[in-house]
Amino acid sequence: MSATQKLLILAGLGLVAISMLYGFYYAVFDEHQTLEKIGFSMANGFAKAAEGDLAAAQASLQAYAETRIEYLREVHGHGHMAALGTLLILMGLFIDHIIGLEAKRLLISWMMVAGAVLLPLGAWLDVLVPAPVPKVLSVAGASCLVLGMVGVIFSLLFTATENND
Amino acid sequence: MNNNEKMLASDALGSRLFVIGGMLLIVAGMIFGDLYAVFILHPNVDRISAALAGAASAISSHDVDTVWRNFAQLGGYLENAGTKKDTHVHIIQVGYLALLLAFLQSRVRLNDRLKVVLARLFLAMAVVLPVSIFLIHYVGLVYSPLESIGWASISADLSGLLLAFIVLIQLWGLMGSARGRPEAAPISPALGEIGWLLLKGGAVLVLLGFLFGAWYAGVQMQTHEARELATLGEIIGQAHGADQAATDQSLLAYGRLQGERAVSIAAHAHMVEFGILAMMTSLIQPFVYLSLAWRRRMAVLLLTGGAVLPVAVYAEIWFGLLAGGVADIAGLLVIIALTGMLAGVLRHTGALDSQGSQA
Repeated sequence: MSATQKLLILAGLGLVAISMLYGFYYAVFDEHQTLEKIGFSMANGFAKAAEGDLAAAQASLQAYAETRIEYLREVHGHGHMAALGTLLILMGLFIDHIIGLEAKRLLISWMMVAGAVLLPLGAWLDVLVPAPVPKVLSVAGASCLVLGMVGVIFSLLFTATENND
Repeated sequence: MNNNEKMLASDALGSRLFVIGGMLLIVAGMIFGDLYAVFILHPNVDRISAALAGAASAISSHDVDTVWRNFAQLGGYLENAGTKKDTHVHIIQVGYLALLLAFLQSRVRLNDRLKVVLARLFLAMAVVLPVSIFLIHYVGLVYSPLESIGWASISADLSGLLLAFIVLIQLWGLMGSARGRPEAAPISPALGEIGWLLLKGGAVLVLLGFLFGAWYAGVQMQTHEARELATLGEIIGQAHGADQAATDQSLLAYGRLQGERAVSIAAHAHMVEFGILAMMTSLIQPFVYLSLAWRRRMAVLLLTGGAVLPVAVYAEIWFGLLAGGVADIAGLLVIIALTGMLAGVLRHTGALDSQGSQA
């Protein structure tokens, strides 16, 4: 394996493993409690309104909205890390076919790896750390991924395709 | 035997199991996704809307018990749809991983017998995980020793943990190989005409999926989240004031918002996933034992389905079930293409086995 392949494949498998372990931890220790809290706070909002207590109903709906955002960020962090890890492994398998220069390969690979780490990290931190740090991480991660893929497509357009068929 | 054929040869059982098992899992996941969209997703939306309307109506009549009863039903519908969606996503994700692990087997520095045991265990857990997720809604908390986690969840969690350990062992085996002397043979096969077509088409789909996702996260997501809270507040306020017409309007707006949010996320996810799938299938083209014309047809079907499905899913905002039907047909195109490629891979393994037995 070339240095670029090692970087992409090992980082990709590492991210997939972390995502799976996080998924296990989340499913066992957090998901059920969070889903129960989401369901209870929304239902309680309606129940309080039926009792005529609109202030308590609004407070309960606010709790619902906050918990739902927390749930979505945690699930998206897990899903994005697994999918981006998969993409890194895949890129590791074909990058040597499409980009000739090792320096260019490394640059694009590092951008993809940085994006694949920063984007899910930004999603997870969104409910833990006050703005703007999580947003900055997510935007930086997304930008790295988009630029990296543009680099891949640009290289694909100018690669002399061998024909083995 | 060339390098490509070595990967599927009968003595490289680990790779062969991962290739065939991975493709079967992806096809199964896609079929399940289409069935889920047709038979569960759309009917469930109506049931969820009816339960929410029932709860809102109970506010007007100050009937707290009916509110809780409607939300108990709503929770059941959401769990039903959520576990089906998770089943679909997890089958496909472990299928992708299996297919990628097939290419890495030649570089994983582990005993050959251990590689086969790990491949079998991975595929077994790759079946147990989605089946367990599917059963969560039906098994519930029956005979569960825990307060909020049922046996199906426990089975899903343990199979997921085992899969994570197998990935870690593969990573460890690869790190051993990465530290050693570099091997001359390339890790993946040379791409032919069809391989390049799939690789380019897949990369474009992934980029479009990234751009759409960035647009959604930057422009739409927080507006949707703020609108959800505001609309729920309006529903309870209007229902409390017994303004039935306004409540109905707000319920409609809430349903539309949930729909917009769901199709935006689904369009983004499907675009990226189909891009990854197309790129992945570019690598297996040397093992698809079909004529060039048939492989080209399968590649075009896959790329067409992969491009049309996310657009049709997003178009459901304006065209409803008509666009949903187009998305289901596009999903079917991808399933046909993948099944064709899988048949080609099986023919290839058959040909290799037959050559081996004649030698």
